[in-house]
Amino acid sequence: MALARLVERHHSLLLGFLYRMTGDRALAEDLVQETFVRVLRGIRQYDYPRPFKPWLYSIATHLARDHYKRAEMRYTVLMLEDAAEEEMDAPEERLLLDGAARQVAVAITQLPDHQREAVVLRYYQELSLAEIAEMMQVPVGTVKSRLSLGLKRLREVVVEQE
Amino acid sequence: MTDEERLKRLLQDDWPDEEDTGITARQLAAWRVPQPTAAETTQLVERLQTELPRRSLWDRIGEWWPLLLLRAQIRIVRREIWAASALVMVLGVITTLGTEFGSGLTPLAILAPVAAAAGVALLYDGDLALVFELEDATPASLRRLLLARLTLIFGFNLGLSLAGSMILAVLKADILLWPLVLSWFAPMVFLSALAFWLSVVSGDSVAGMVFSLLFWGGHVVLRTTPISSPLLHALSLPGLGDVNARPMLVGAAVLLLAVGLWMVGRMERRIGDAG
Repeated sequence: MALARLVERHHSLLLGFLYRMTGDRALAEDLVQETFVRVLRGIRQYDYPRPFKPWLYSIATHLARDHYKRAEMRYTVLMLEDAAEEEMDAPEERLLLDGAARQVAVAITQLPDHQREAVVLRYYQELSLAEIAEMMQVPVGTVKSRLSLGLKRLREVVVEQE
Repeated sequence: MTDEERLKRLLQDDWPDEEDTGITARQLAAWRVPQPTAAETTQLVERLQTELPRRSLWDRIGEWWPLLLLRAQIRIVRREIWAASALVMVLGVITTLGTEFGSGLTPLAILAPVAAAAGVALLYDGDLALVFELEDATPASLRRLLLARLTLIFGFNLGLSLAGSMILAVLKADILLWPLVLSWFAPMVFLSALAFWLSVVSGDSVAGMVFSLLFWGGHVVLRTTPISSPLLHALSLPGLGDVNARPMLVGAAVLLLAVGLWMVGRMERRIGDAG
């Protein structure tokens, strides 16, 4: 029962995070499962009352990095543009990448890995700067600078498109 | 708050110099992601069941709620109580080793009930405002919390007394373990329960401790003094040391404890009604 509650609480956001990191729903689902598996295997190393969310996303981020470090798995929305429509899993996936969504997806995926992670963790997963700093094992100032650079770049792309 | 508003607020926190974060917030909000269905979440939970860590028997025992309650209460019980009990028991053992007491009570048998009764009386202390705040904030009832603390304090004193008795039985040839234990056990149980009950009735732990120790002190003194007066003989509470009275003392202790806990429960309900 505790497991079910844990999964229900975090499944949706975690899937969203890993989808934004990888661009591939099937891969994101696999990584979600792997993240939870690692959480369960490492549960004895988790010290309460340390916050759970940063620990969870730290595991998820490492898994995503392992995947997109491999050249053949590097995420790009442009790959999806080349894919035939019938290869997409569901109509809602086509809608997810229409218009403005495509603009920001392209912009974020073009960011360096650390900036992309900081932007997604801050604005989509709503982790605090301190939590992101703890996850990335860097000072809060470094997180702020990564966010600042990432947002500037994002803003440039968005304004270009507009 | 919409996603766009939420994102705009976050951007304004992080990007205070940026004049218009609205465009960026709007764009960020536009990027939706797939949502898992309830069925997918259920399937994921089922797949993860095999990964659940197996709990050993010790883990399961450790998670049994009475043990968890006792472990939590250890931190709340005043440290002075543990130290004082240990000190008194050590004193009892040392003085027993160093004295000849004939067929009378050993110093350990005199001091063991004192330590237990004092410790138990101090558990019900109305001055511990922080403790009561914690109790009010938790779902556990006052009765349950007090019973947990009683178990801890009495168990600690019982353990110390047993350990002291075993040491004495080993070191002193004229001391037998079982008779020694019986000499302090019933008085310890009775005096602890009496101290607790008196604390509850009077609302003052010091009063509870003082009266119960006066009873015991009077008994010890008058027991060792030749008594001709029937009044003094009665006041010496001969039953406290009478071998045949031990079962009755333990029974009386259980009754006093039950009544004390019942009274505490009634006070809690009255406070709850007033709130």
